[in-house]
This record gives sequence, C-alpha cells and structure tokens, in this order.
Amino acid sequence: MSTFLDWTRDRRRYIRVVVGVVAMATLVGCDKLLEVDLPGQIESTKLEDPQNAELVARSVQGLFECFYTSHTGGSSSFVDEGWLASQRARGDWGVRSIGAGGGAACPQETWNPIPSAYQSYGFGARAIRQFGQWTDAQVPNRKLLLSYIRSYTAYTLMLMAETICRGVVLEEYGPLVNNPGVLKKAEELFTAALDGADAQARNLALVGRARTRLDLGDLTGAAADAGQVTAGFSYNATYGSVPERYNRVYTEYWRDLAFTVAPARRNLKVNGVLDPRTLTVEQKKFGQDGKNLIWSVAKYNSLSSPIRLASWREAQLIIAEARLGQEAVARINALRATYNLPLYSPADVNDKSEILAAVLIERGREFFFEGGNRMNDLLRYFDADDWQHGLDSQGAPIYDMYCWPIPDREIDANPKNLNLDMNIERLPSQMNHPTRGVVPKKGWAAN
Amino acid sequence: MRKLAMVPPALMLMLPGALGGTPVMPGGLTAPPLLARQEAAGAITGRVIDQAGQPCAAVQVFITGSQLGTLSRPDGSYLLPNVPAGTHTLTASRIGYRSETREVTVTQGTTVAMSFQLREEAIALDELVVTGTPGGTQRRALGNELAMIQNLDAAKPPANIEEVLVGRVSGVNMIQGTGQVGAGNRVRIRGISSITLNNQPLIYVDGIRVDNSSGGSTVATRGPAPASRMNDFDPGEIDRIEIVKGAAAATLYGTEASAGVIQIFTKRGSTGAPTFDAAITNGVYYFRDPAGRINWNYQVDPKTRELTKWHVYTTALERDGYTAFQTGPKQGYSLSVRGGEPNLRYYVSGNWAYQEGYVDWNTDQRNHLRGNLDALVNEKLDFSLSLGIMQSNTRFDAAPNPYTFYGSWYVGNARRTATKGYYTITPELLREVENRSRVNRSTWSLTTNYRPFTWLHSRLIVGRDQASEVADLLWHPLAVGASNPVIGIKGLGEKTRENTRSQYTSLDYSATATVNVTPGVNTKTSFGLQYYKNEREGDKLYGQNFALPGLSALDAASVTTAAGSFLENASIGVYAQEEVGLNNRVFLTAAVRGDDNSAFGSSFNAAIYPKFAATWVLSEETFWNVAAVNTFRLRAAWGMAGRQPDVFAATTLYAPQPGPLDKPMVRPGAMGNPDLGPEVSKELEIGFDAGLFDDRVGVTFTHYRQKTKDALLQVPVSMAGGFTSSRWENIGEIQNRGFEVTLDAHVLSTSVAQWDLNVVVAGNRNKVTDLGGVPPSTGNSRLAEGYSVGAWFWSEPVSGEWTGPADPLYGKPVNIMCKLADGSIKDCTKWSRAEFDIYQGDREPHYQGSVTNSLILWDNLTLSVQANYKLGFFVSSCEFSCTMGLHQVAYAVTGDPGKGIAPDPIARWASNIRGGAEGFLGGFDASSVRLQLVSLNYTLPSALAAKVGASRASIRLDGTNLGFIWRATEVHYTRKVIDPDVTQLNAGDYGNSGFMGLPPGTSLQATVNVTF
Repeated sequence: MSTFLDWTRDRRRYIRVVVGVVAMATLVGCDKLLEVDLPGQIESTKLEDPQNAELVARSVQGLFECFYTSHTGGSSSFVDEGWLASQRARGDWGVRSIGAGGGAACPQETWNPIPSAYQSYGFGARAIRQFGQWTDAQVPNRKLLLSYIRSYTAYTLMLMAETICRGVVLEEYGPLVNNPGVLKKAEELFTAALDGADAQARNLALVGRARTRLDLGDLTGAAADAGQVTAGFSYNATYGSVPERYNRVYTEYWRDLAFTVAPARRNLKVNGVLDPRTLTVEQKKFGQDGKNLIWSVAKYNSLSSPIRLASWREAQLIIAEARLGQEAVARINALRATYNLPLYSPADVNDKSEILAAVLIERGREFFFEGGNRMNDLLRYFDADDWQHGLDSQGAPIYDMYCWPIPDREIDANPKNLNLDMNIERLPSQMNHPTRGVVPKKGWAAN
Repeated sequence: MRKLAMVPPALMLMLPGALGGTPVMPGGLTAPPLLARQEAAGAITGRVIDQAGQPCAAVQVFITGSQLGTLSRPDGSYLLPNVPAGTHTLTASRIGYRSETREVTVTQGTTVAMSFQLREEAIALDELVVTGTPGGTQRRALGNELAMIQNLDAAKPPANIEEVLVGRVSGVNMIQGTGQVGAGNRVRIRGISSITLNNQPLIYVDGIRVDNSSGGSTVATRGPAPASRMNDFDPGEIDRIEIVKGAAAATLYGTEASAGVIQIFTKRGSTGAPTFDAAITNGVYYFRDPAGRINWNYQVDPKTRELTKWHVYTTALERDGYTAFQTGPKQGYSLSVRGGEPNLRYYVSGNWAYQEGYVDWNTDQRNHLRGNLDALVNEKLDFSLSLGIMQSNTRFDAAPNPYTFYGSWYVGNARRTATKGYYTITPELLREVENRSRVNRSTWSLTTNYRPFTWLHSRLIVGRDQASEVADLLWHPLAVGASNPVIGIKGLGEKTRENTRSQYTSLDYSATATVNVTPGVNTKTSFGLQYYKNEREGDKLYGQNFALPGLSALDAASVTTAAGSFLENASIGVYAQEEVGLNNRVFLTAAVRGDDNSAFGSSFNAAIYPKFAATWVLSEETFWNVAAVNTFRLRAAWGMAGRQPDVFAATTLYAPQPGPLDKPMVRPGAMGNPDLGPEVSKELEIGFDAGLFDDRVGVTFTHYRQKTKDALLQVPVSMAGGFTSSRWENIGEIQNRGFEVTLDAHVLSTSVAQWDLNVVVAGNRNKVTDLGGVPPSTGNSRLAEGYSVGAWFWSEPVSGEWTGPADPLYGKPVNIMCKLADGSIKDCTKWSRAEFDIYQGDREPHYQGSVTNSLILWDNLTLSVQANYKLGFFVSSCEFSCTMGLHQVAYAVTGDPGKGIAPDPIARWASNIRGGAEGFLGGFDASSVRLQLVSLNYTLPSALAAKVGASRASIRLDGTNLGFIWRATEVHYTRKVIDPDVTQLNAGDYGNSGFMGLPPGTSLQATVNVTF
C-alpha cells in the first residue's frame, strides 16, 4: 500500500494510463465493437432498396399463396366440403369452428388462415407504398409488378371481407372497417391494378374486381368486368415441395390423413354423369382418428398442386349470377359443355329463384375446394338450414359459428378501437351483405 | 489487521493476480530466501491439517519475531531449516483459519517435529474475494454477501458442479428435473427475477465469461433433460467457487448479471517438487425400489368389469424375467500434478469418467484435460494462463414424446398388447433410438497483472470459451421398406442432426489505485472496461427413409432437408468504483457502470447501473464489549444490474424462405422495438456476519429486497402491419424479498471427536407487481399481478358423490363441492373455471436449504450426513393428470368393480368432464426433506500411506439421494408420488407442468484418493 505522497508523485502517469485506455476504446469505437452479423434475417431497411423490388413483389405473391391455401382448406372444412378425420384440428379447421387466438402466420401456422391474411395484407400494403416511392427508372417493370402486388393485396382483402364477421383493421392500431368498406378498398386496389397491367394481370384484376363487385351487390359492374375477361383465362396460386410452399389441402386431405372430403360432396353427378369438377380419390385408409375413411380432393394430388385463383370460368358464372335468366342458362351450359356434362334445362327460365339456385349449384361444383367461394355463397345467400348442425365427424357438437372472428391478438393490441366483446356473436348479419331481392330456391346447397 | 502483522515481511508479498491460486494471500507462490545463516542450527518439520484432517496448503509457518518462515506444501508438510538452537515461538497462520502458536526447542543438528491443526475462523474477514469487485478485495470491505465453496473434494464427492451447489449455498435453488446421467438442472438464485428471459446466473471461469445455457441442442425432445454447459467443467479441477447473488452484488457485471454470478476458479500450481494426486472412483447408479415406489396402472375390462393391472417393473420381471431397469456402473479416474519454481508454477490434470443410467441406453462419458501456468516476470508483472479442454459423449434416454420410457411408468397398461403393455414403445425398440450429444469444448484465459507503481494494480484478462455440439436423434431403420407396427414410418429410419457451435469472447481490464490518504484512511479507486461477444451458429439436418437396416448417414436417406441459424451478441461496459476504508474497519463503496449492448434498441442510450455499499467491523472497535461475539460485521449494499433482451429483439426483421418459382422471398419475422432496453433489477441487501463463542459458531444473515423494473413482456402488435407476432416491451415489474442464513457450529470438539453442524436456510417470496397492461394469463399456471410468476391456480373440490343411471354400477359423479376463494362451498359441476380456480401455491419454494452434520473421529474418520429441504411450493405433473385423465389408469378413476369399490367421484368427474386437464388432478404440495448425502471418509495413517510411496491416502464411501425423510404429499389420488422434484425444464421458466422425466436415481460410490 502506498502513501499519499507516492500517489501525488505518480498521479500524472496514472492519469495518462487511464486516459490512454479510454482513448483506445474510443478510437476503436463502441459502435464498431457492437456490430453483429445477422446472416439469417433481413433488416427492414433493406427492403427499401429498389434493387430488391423483385424480391418484395415475389414475397407479396408467396405470402398470398400461403394464405390462400390455408384459406381454401379452412373455409372448405368450415362449411360442408370437408370433414375432420383427426382430433387435433377441431379448433382451427373444424366444422363451423375456427380459432381466434392464433397468432402465428405463414409458414409456421398452417391451419388458421386469419393471421396469414393479415400478414399477406400488411406486407402487400407496405409493398404498394414502397413501389409508389420508387421510380420506373429504378425498378424495371415497376408498373407491372405493382399491378400484381395490388391484385394480390386486393384478393386478400376481398377474401377477408367474405369470411370475417365484422370487418378488418386496415391500418395499424386503426379502426375496424366493416366488410363493405373492406370490399370497397379491394375494389379500389383492383382498379389501380389495371394501370400498367399486361393481359394476364388485367384479367386477374378484372376477375377480382368482378367478384368484389358481386359481393358488394354491384351486379352491373360485376357483369361488366367479367365480360371483359379473355376466354380461356386461368390464373393459379402456385405451390412447391418445400414445407413453406406446400399445398395444405393436399397435405391435410391426402398425405397426413387429417381430413376427408365430406360424404355429401364426393364425386357429385349431373343427371347421373360423374362431374369431373368434384372428383375425389378414395384412399382406402382410415384417418388419424381411426374411424373416418379418407377421400381426397383429386385435383390436389401433390405438394405442389396449384389452386386456381381467377378464371374465365369464374367470370362466366359471375355474369350468370348477375344477370340470371336465359343468359345464366347459356353461361352454365357453355361451361358444362367443356366437361361433356348434360346441359342444364330449367323448368322456367324466368324463375329467378330457380336460376339463382342453379348458378350457386354450378359454382359449388366449379369452385369445389377453391378459394372460399362456397363459404362465400353460403353466407351471401344465408339460410341456416344450409349449414351443418348436430354432431361433427368426431361425435362432438358442432359450434354455433357462421363467420370468422377478429383475432384476439388484434383486440388485445388495439383496445382503443376494438371492444373486448367483439367476437361474442359470429352471425352473417354482422357482415352487411347487400340484399338483391332474389332468394335462391331452397335446398340448393345440398346439390 | 490481526495475525498478519506478525508475518515476516518477506512473506507479505501478495499473490500476484487475484485470480490465480487459492484465495489466501501467498498461495504458495514463493518462499523467498529466508535464512540469515546461523552457526548453530537445527530444523523444524511437520504437517498442517484442518479440523477435518485434510492437509492445509500455503500456511505460513514462521518463528515469531524473526525473519524465519516458510509455506506449507499441498500435502500440508513444511520444513523450516537452519533454525538457531534455542526455544522459539512457532506460529502457523493462514487467512480464514485461526492462527496456532507452539513453543518449540531446537538443538543443534536435530530436526524437531511440530504439527498443527488449524481451525477455520467462523468469519474469515481477511479472505480475498474477487467476484463482483474490480480485481479483488478483502471480504471485510465487501458490502454484500458472497458465498464461497472451497475444498470441493473434501466436502463431498461431486459428480458435477451443479451437484456441488445443491443445498450448500443459501438462496441457490437447483431445480432438479431428471434422473438421466449426463443431463443438467436449472440454477436459480434468489427466485425468479425475469418473467420472459433466462433466469440462469452468469458463469465465469478464471475470469472469463463462459456459456451458461441450460438447454443445449434443440435437436431432440429430451424431455426434462437439458444439457448443462456448467457441468462441462470437472469439479476435480476446481479450487473454489464464488457466488454473488443479486443486483447489489453484481452491479459491476452490468447487463445480464441480475440473476447473479457464479465464478469458478480452477486449481493453480505451487512452489516445490511435483505433487501428484490420483483418484479412482467406482460406484453404481440405480433406481431405488422400483417395485415398491412405482405405481401400478389399472384398467377395468369393459365387458367383464374385471380389474386388471400392469407395472413397468413387476409385470416385466414376472413375465420376461428381466426389466429395463439396471444398476448402472460408474467409474472415474483422475490424475493431477502441480509444482514449480517461485517464478513459474504449473498445474496439470486429466480425468476420464463413465457412467450409465438406470436404463442401460442412458450413458455418459466425458474426459477433461487442464493445464494452468503462472509466471512471475518480476515484481511488477505476472501472467496466469488457464486452459481447459473437455469432451463428452452422452446418450439420453428420451426419444421424443410419446416414445418415452417414463411414459410407460404411468400410462402403460395391459391393453397395449402391441407394446407388451409399455406406452407406445418397448424398451427393445427404445434401444434402437439414439439420442446422442457429443460435445467438444475448450476454454482458455490469460490474466496479466501489472503493477507499474506500488499504488497501482492493473489487470487484463482475455479469453475465449468455444464449444461445438453434435446432437443426433437417430431412429435406426428396422426393416426394408416397411413401417414398423409400433413406431410406424420411423421404423424406416429417421435422423435429425444439429451441429451447434458457440463462442464466447471476453476482455476485461481493470485498474485499481490504492492510496493511504492518512494513516487511518485509505482509498481504492478503480476503473474497468469489459467487452464481451458471443456467437452461436447451428445447422439442422434431417433425413428419413433409409434403404436398409444399418444405414444411418444422412446421405443414405431418401429425403433430406436442412436449416441453419446464426445469432450474435456483443456488449461493452465501463465502470468506476471508489472504496474508502477507515481504520480497516469501516468501508464505504460507490460504483457506477455504463453498458451498451447490440441487443438494445437504436433509440435506447446506454444502461447505467449504480451501486453503494457500506460495511463496519464492529467487533474490532474499542467499544465492542460483547464477550460471546468475537467477530461481528454489519454490511449493506444497494445496486442495480440488468438483463439484456433477446438478441435482435429491438430490430424489425424479415425472414427469408423459399418462394414462388423456387426463388427466395421474405416474410415478416419479428416486430422490433427501437426503445428496447435491458430489464433492470434494483436490490437492497443488508446483513451481518458474526463469530460467536470464540469462533465455535459462525452466523451470516442477509435480508434482500429486489425489484425488477422494465421487465420484458411480449405485447401483441396490431396485425394490420403484417406482423402477427408480439413485440418486446419494457413494461413489467417483479419483486423478490427474502432472507438467507448460514450457520456453522463446532458443536463438540474433543481430542477424539468433533461434531460440526452446518445449517443453510433461505426464504424467498416472489410477486408480479405490474404487468404493464398486458392481460393476466389464464390456465393453471398464471402470470397475474399480486401473485408469484407462474403461480398455480386450480379448483379445490372437497367432496363428491355417485348417483344416477349413467354408469351401470355407480351412476355418475355429482355434487362435486368446491371451495371458493372466500371459503364458501359451491357445486362446481355447474362451473366456469374462472369462478372456481383459486390460488393454490407457488412454483418456487418459500424455504429451502440444508442441514449437514459432520462427525470427525480421531482426525481421520469423517462421517457426514446432509439433508436438503424445499418447503412451500407446488408442482403439477402429467404423471397424475394423465393417469386420471386421458389414460384413466389410476385406481382413483377405475375403482374395483369386482369388489364393489367405486372410483373417487371427484377424480372421475374431473377426468370425464375435463379430460384430466383440470389442475388439481396433477398438482400437489411438493414440499419435502431429502436425505441428500451420507459420506464416510477415512484417511489412512501416514505410515500406511508411505508403504505405497504416498504422502497421503484416503478412502471414501458416498451415497447420494438416498430417500425422503419427509414429504408433504406421499399419495395423490391413490398414486404414490415418486419424486416431487420431477419437473419440466426444457420449455421455459414457468407455465409448464412436469412431463415424462425420469426421476433422480440413487448413487453409491467408493473413491480412493492418493497423493504422492
């Protein structure tokens, strides 16, 4: 131990040592020392670089496609197309049952489509803003890419508006926008997507806008859009053989034996002739529950089977539904002819109720396990008798739910704008569907 | 100072480098020339031992009032040559022990024998401690409590470091989760101080930070069998362990230290000829009384109503003549050597150990090699190098759920004919599942001490801890092209491999200026800078469907996938501390540390952690006049420390993945929070250390109040931005309050026998005081304001009846009456769980500790008995909820229809209605007192040891985990509680129930220690 005199004598050297160490640390730089690598993730700012525009656009497509397969499977099981063949999925893809608590989205969450829908919409909205800030000089094909981004984002909104009970939160921590408002937003995006679109992108946007307008009750506008769609047009959501890109209807209904096509929807016939649109494959295996035999959707027979998103065929049925009458019969038969199915001959071509039912039946076949169309039809022309009641394929009571909930997570995050009792009622009346004055002939849903 | 003032000046040379060697002053570094040549001289020789008969190294043996002195060697022997003829006063002194003085008469040309037996001071105030200080200080100057474990070999036969800590340090809870050999536990100090982050303390080895993870590889679901990186270090190569327990003590470690710090110091070399220590251990590990302790599982035949039963041990033994249980062998061999010159000392050790679990497919083999070197360049400069290398190869029991062996214990039943009654998989098939972890680890550090002036000591420590783990979960292919009837397609072969590499780099600089301002006032001014970086990289590979049995390489699989991960974190901190000592009795300390960390948000400035401490050795004041209390010190400390958020939690991230057309895309990953900062714990601890009745009794007492503000919680974000995950925010608050008492008493001390008693008591109460607006969780284990983290809630039925036509024999369970929070009784068949679930208890023990009695006979035979206790906590286990719920094999839910015995209506009701998920079926009071250790050690007489050329030899017999002395719950709804400590460790700190973990087994072993 030294004395105070020692300290006084040496203090200058001591101070020099300390100052030297501090100076060294400063020279090296704290920031430099704290730099860390993150080779497995991408920081948000990197997506603002126009060089990554194509990556952003591709991501919009990929996120939509992941949501779309989940939405297709979930909506089909929710209504009467699919049956549970396992216990585990009841809370998410169950009959008239879907969870509100799920937070994980694609690709971790393969069941509940609602978070994936928000993920697809949120990323799409960001991409639209980002593309708006870039110039054509910075991004080759900017307008065309933007057209697709708008269409995918609009499709997401439209599908959400068709299924979620009360509406969608379109801005972070913003108010709930009701379903017609969401559809209006989708319509705007489809309209904007026509700008800079090539033929395929234009058809994609037109079919989407036609469907949106049909949902909004704008029959004239829907038919006008549908009438512009190029004959033979078809556009698919694509899938692949890596887990992030699986067609989930295939994995659940075929590979994993977790679901089966419901008996009433298997291999439907038209006047005794097998309808190729509803082909199902008997697996001759029990499902995971050990008691339901598995029947799989024939058109989804591999991990990468595409799911149709928009088509000229859909456009024809939109026109048929909008205009009814002889034109509807003609459009139905034009489609049936391509499948070599017997033609439709109504008892009274002026019976709007019958023709509307015929169109809906046709839609049920054409959109078999496709894009939530059947759920949308059952909700738009709601009749509780068309929905399943009693016990499900596991012997458990079927829930009393007709449309999908606002996610609990959004309610928890956004309490100012959303009331906690938001999800108590899950009735079609909350969806504000327009009434068109025509009710389809009762029993259409059973055909 | 006390006895130290008498030491010859030559011996006052302080050990260069507080990290090196033993905590006592000289550490055997040097015995400088001592002799003033005498005309007529003899010599004195002898041996120094402690009260347990163990050799005492580095004891100063000197002739009072002269320059003559020396240091005892590792075997306790000393030689003092050239002592002038005459009568002298010979003193043996070492910090931490009471000095002993003898009169000795030396005659010319003769050697006089004089041995000493030193007794530890009740409170070693002059002991040098390092952890939590800027380079080391005397314990008397420390305002906080610091626990130290020394003489690991002598105290008990540790299988691993965690076992050393079990019950021995107040406030340290070892959550034992599994009986698998090679698996680890979870360490928790002073309760849960973080809701969402790791509560593991930081671990330092020879001054550098090392991997403290408790999870290991994620490749295989090991059930509750996490790897423990702390156990990678061999207890045999450890000199001492220092533990600081909370924010007040760990302030200088800054961010990440609020859960406490455990610092391990490895053994160092000593001056003199090489001393070899060899040890051989042989023993067994087994599950005590499986026939009696494991429950029978029952079923009622639905047609005949006959009761059948099945037992994982007894049924197998009666049917097959053998069982899956075994008495697992255990063996270990170690050899070390230490020695050197005053300027260069070395310590080298190596060991090899192998043990098997009580199922033969659970094995653990590991070897360690260590080389430590200390070099004294001159009075100003010295270096200490530490290098440890470790390899292990562990095969765990656990195949992923449901293919677990323990599952068979409680849900196996006679109806499972395909698996001979076992749950999902037979032991024969389980042996074909290899869940293996191979670890290679190296840890090195270089400590440089530089004393440019007499008043300035600077220290620089650099080092790195590197580990690589190859973890495999391999289902060997069993047949060609066909799935197995029991394990399905896994029979075609499946392999998951995870290669994990971790690297921790540390740089720690400190400088301390010590100045005597006046004769009674001295100051220590310290400055420090610490930099730390950790990288963790992993590759996960998967393959399935092998062409033929015997294939197991991934390139032989039909389908393969791969994934990878990389995480990195860096932290830099600077601190300054001022310590003022008044008359070496009163010490005041103030310190502040500033930290920046790569995980902090961009909007968050540096974290600042202040600290204040004061201590007063009252017993050295002139006014102290309490005869019964010979040492008494008051201490108090207040300080802050932090815990960093998850790496990159502050950054908004997008995750790449395969996209359309097989091209890459991204998806929203984590929503970052630029304001994110560390969790900050504030702690006040006050206490005292007392030596009573002439150091026959030592007591330390500490009371602490700790509050963690800015606790990190996951807050849901609006999904409209595309992020569907939560975001970390600093919004919660938790508090821990408690006390710690350690009592050491020399109850009896005669020439024939000594009886020592050690009692450790720790109490802790944990409470969540603020969730920052996040809704409380629901379920049985909850996060709710006003309750402890993960507090248990479930309904509490008090009675029930059978009636009605639903069951052909008994009707149906009705009138299930439950107690509500206000004490009223209501029928909970008409329930909502929100109404009937009431608070039951906490996850962490309210009280825990140990009682150890040691009886020493004739200085060479020691019998130690240690009992550990944990009181006031609950567990919930699938062992009970599953047997009564989904599987319904508990007698409580089957009854015995043949004998007209009805099932328990409460259990049956909960089983039927809730599928067994209701908490009270699985949960119970887990308080217990365990007979942790019985140890018998015999030190052979020197003459006998000398016959084999040894200077010392001992034989020790040890039994560990020998049973329960008391349990609050022995039977729960007709099921015996095998071990209440079985809990789930691999899935986070709270919110989980015990699930499929093998209970701890019993160990018996014999060890022979020889010193040459």
